[in-house]
Amino acid sequence: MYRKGVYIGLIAAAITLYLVALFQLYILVSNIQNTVIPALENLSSMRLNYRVQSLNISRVDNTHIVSACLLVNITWSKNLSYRGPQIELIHKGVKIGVINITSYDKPVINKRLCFKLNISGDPGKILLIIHSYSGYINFDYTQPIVNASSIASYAKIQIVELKTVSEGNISTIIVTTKSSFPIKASVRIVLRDENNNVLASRVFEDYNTSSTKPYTCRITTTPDIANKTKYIEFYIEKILISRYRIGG
Amino acid sequence: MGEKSKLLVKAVGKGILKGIIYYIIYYIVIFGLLIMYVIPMLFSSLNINVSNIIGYEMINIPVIIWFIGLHIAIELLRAFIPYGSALEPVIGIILLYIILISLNYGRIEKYIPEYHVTLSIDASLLLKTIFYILVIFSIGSVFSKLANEYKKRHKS
Repeated sequence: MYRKGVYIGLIAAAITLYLVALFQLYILVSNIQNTVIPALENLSSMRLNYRVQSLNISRVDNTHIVSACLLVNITWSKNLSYRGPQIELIHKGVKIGVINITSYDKPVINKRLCFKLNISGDPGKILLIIHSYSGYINFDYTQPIVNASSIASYAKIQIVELKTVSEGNISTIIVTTKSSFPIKASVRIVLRDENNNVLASRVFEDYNTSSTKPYTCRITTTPDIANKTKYIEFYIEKILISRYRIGG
Repeated sequence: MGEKSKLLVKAVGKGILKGIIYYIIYYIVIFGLLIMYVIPMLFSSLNINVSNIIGYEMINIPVIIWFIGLHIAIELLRAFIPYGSALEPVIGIILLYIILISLNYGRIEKYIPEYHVTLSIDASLLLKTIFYILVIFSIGSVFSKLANEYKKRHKS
């Protein structure tokens, strides 16, 4: 026996569920528009810059270590009231720091970040891994931001005094140096001619200097090399810390 | 050939055809567009080529077999069991679930040897929400099909 009430009840249940599904679809689409897309836009517009607050290059058991403290600023396009990404800094597969953007409501200003970099061998790159939590889609996003050598080169060795003393067939180049930040490491000085050819190279194992403490290097060579020297370079491991042109 | 055998052959034939058609609609069009175009489009502003990370295969033999097998089951239910056609959306839910499993619920991990890091994308909440919406829609279809079959059976 056909009962119209049963038919209407079943159709009503079907329509109700269709409406619930449509409502949920509307919520999904609006959430994607209001959270996922702005979060991705903020990530794409994210800018990170840093200032080196302190730096120290030292040698521990034949391994050169750069200890640095940076002041990091991170900005983005839209101020939003939900959670931002967690940013990890990785160097040679080792996590060296974390910045947690708990909310997109204000930019990260002068966040102090201290870490140590092992620069022996290949200095490597510092990578950013951004763990983004945009609601429906969470993901990790990686990009290299700076070479470790760039951080190390902030130590900048400066020549305070340079003179050459000649006695017969022996010339001694005396270079007195200071550095912007403390360096206690094995420093290699390379002398180059006008065409960038290496004329001589000396390693100073006990190199120890800072902005207030000068260190004098004496390079014994021939008068010919002393006369041809146009560039002096300072290296720690494979990293060129400073390069100077001398003479005219 | 008896009447039942004819029905059986017809049901199997329709099941195979429908299985392939629904595989194209669900797996290739809906989820394929979502994974190969919508999600990469969301990531395009970050210059991440997600398509390279996602291991989506347009021709997924185990999923095709499931689609064809379950659609044959649907046609057999429809042909031999009263109100069997109302179960069609339930089998649709099972097929959607199989798609989700084959896509690892939208979770992907990839090791990048150049950087010595493992990257991941987790779109499971998005895919589960879509699944949940389709489940509600399918249950609505169950009621709709029950109503139509009820009317057809009792009015004639």
